[in-house]
Amino acid sequence: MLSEFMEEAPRFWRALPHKTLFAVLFLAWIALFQFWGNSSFGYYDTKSMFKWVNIDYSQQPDDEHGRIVPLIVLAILWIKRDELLKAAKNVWWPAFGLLAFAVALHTAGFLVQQVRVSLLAFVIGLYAITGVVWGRAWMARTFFPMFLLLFCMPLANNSQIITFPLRLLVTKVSVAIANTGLGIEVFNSGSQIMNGRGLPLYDVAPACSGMRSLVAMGLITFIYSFMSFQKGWKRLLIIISALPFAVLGNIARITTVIIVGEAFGKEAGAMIETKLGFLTFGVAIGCMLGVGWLLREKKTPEPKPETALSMEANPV
Amino acid sequence: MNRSELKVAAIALALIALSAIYLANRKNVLGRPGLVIEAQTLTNELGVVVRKQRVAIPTNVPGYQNEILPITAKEIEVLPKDTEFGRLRYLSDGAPVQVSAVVMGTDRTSLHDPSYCVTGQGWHVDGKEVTTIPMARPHAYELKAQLWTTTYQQLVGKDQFGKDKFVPLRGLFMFWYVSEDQLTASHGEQMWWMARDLLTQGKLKRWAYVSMFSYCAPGQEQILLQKMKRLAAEVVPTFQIPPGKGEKETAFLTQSKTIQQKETVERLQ
Repeated sequence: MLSEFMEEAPRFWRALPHKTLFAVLFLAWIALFQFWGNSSFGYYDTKSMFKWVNIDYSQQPDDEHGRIVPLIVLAILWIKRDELLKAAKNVWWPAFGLLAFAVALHTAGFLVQQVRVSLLAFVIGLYAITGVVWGRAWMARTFFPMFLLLFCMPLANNSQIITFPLRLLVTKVSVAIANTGLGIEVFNSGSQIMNGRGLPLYDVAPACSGMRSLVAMGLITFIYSFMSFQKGWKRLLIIISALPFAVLGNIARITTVIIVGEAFGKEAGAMIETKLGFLTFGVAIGCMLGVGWLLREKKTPEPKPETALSMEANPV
Repeated sequence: MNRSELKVAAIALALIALSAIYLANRKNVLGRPGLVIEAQTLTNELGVVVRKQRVAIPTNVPGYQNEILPITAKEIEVLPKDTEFGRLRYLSDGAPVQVSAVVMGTDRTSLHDPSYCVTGQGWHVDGKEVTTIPMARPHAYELKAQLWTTTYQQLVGKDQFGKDKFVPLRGLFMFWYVSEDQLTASHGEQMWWMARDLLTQGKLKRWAYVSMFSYCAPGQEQILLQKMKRLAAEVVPTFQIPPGKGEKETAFLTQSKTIQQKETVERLQ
């Protein structure tokens, strides 16, 4: 694969038009967000949006996936390189409207001290610049991978409004399954799981709320839906099922914790809670693949390559 | 680059440059705080002076003893340098009630997510709701506040099997946001109003966040809540400027000073 990349990359680069123009606009766009990217210095003292985001990724485990998303996007663009080369044409002036919108959005985000608004503006502006340089067809073919860049958005600090109800839901359902379905005497107080004597057993902590698995599942379902399905409604269905899949995965893990704790003691249950995070993903991805199988599309057969025999049968 | 590319580059670069120049030179007008700030030193937990003024949370509430609490070195380190503080503990029957206030300066990150403080001190948030505090002064209105119910497992010794023994404490954490002319219990609404006013008026309003905290044994939450609301109705009007009023225009503040002077004279007699 590496040798293929080393051969193909120069060819792709030579064939790509308007490289200098793109480089100039790209560097100017980067400079704007490097020197006037952040206007609130309480959390992280930097004017650079990139540094702000990078520090946040280091501080918030729920956001650290943001570092690999650009690599995933580049990989998808590389896979589509031949298609993109055919699409890359000339300047498309309407894309300037989108660029102007991105500039205005960043200005507003900077004024109101919301660096996440500026990050959104950066992604939109980058997409607009590619449209200005390479045209409408390029924009159409790169919408999906560029949309994935939105998964770089750090949300952990603002996720309480989603994660707190999710934690409560996961706790309540897990306790109900254990109590009603399995006869294990536990009850919940908020997101704490208590035994029959009111002693705390486990805490469905923010890390167990599913935020990390929700974002990861969102990313995985997005990629899976676009790579595996053509129909819009099927893609949408797979994407919106990320939330229930992530919740189901966490319910499976917490219920397992309760069962193991009942059978082998509280410490065993706590060990499961901390070590078996992959159970969440296993259940969630399994559900996603199951729904994908139900929605599967028939693949159009590839045309057979012409052989000498078939050519003889149809002489030109 | 050819001529066409140069034209494209010039227009795009002009757009980006205009934004950069505007952002580099734009200065927001700073609003007035919605809380009264008075000249009094505040110290950290080591006794080092960290501020020369504080939010004027009153120290002379009938029926309560009080203690001015330090602002921790960690808060001073993490929060923006122009953040103003106020923190008092009121003591009477039962658990003490802590009243705190944080006023932002030019940086909105002075107002941080309360869950950091609550969970950071070992309290576990069990529930969140909006409650109302009936206020009689300076005029009758209902102050809406967020009410978080929390739990803390307090270590009290060992049980008969030699294992750590815990008893639960229930904590009530109440807070709201106030600017020079707005009141809200919603953090989202506070952020939206701040952004809207910045964009439409060019004014950065100095929002503040007022909080109250106390704790009790399980089952006593309603009694504690009523106690906290009565205390809020007593102390909040003395340092929270009603929406739409300036500090000097607040009739109640003038009246409360007169009452204080009268009480001082009566005590001396």
